Amino acid sequence: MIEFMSQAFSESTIIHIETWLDNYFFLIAAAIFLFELIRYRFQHKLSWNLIGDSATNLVTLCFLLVTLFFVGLAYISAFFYFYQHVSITHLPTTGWTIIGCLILADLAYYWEHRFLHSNGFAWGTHSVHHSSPHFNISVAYRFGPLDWFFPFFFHVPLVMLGFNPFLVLLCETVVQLFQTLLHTEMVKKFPRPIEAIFNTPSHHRVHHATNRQYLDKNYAGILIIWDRMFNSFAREDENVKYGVFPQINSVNPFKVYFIGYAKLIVELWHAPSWGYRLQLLIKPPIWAWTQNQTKDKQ
Amino acid sequence: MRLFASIITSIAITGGIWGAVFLQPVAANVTEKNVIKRQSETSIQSSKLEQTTNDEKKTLRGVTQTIPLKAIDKLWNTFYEQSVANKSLPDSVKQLIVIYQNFNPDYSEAKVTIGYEAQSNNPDNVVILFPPEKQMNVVLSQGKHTDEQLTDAWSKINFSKQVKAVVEVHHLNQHGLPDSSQLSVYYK
Repeated sequence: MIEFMSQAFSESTIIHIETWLDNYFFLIAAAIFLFELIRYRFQHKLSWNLIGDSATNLVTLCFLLVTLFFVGLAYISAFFYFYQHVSITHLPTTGWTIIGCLILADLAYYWEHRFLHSNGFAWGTHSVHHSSPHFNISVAYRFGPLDWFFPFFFHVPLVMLGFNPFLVLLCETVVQLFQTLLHTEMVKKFPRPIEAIFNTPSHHRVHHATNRQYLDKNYAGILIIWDRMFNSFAREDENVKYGVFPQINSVNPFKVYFIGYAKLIVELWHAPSWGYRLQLLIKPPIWAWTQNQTKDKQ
Repeated sequence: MRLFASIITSIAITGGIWGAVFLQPVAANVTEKNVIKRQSETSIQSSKLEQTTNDEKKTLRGVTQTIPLKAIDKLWNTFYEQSVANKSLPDSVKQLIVIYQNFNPDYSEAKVTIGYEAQSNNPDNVVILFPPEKQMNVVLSQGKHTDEQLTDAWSKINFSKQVKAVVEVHHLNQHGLPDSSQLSVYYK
């Protein structure tokens, strides 16, 4: 076992694993979604709105894939530029390195996710993912227009530390795919040891909730220990409602995809001062919402 | 935990995990296909090496190139084309030396010189700094070995120590073909 973990893997092996995951995981997700539809049917919750919302989610996935078609090469090229010219070393791609990279990629994802919730500019894209009033596996594929942009800045430090760029991409993918499985109401809670260490559907329902005590909680990717450690954890103790404030109430994929930044641009345009504009971009989204609530009351 | 403390903790965790990965024992894998850098041009040239105290200068005639270890066969072919096929290998040559130096951090790539000892007055020859004999550790003693045995011997090298050089000495028979080999490693 020790010898196996110390064996070096080639770049082509890493690329092969990533390709396999990209190709086959979607099929697994589709099969799970089919089960969810059957479950909705039995619970009399299957509606045209839900089907339309799920179709919209898949359309936003297509939008993201088209974007990646154009920017993907630049993304990986930038990674390799940093790897060749800035990285402090080149770490061998052994089993131990893969585990280390996966843990650090998960930690990087925690901070990236927390960042997405912490300022108006990033929330403009991430709010798309949260805007669905439903919670099923298709919601995992609900993406915003700049969802490809922010991960770079949080994962390039891993490349600079010497992890092979293809390995970092693989770990990013694994962290994302793990979370795909969390977007479900089919699983209530796992045994306590699992709930203590790993992100679970229960923890992720809390993350998507609009219940006041659940706002900006449970940012984790794979390991919930980061939230427990950094004081951003909340346990699911009551039924959750999903979506954002205000609700979008649309299954038009173009409206859903762009409304986050459309609203931000409108608010920036109508802002009373440059200071207000700056705060719209850098302050948490709840600040803008509170300002609007105050204005409406006045 | 406050934001600043969380960030500091994250940096500490990152440092700890990175340190553990960096210090892991690395097994050399001569069949590994982890090519990271582009191959440099094959050339017969003077090599610029750091000379530490007591290093011995030897002049070799052959080929020298920084290559992934998995591409060693290709360098051998180049050596044979330049020396043996051109009938420029002197009859007096009784051994071929392969020296691996300047390893990259994961030991997948090295500056490899294949050649035979020659006079130092020829500008085409390569000057190689050999570590002193007292630093030599014989991994595979001289004898008739298969390629598999030679590859296995590499796995006995302790790469967690800093390896200065690995030297293969292939003794030639009367036909100019290698019929016995020895593998040694020099640690820093």
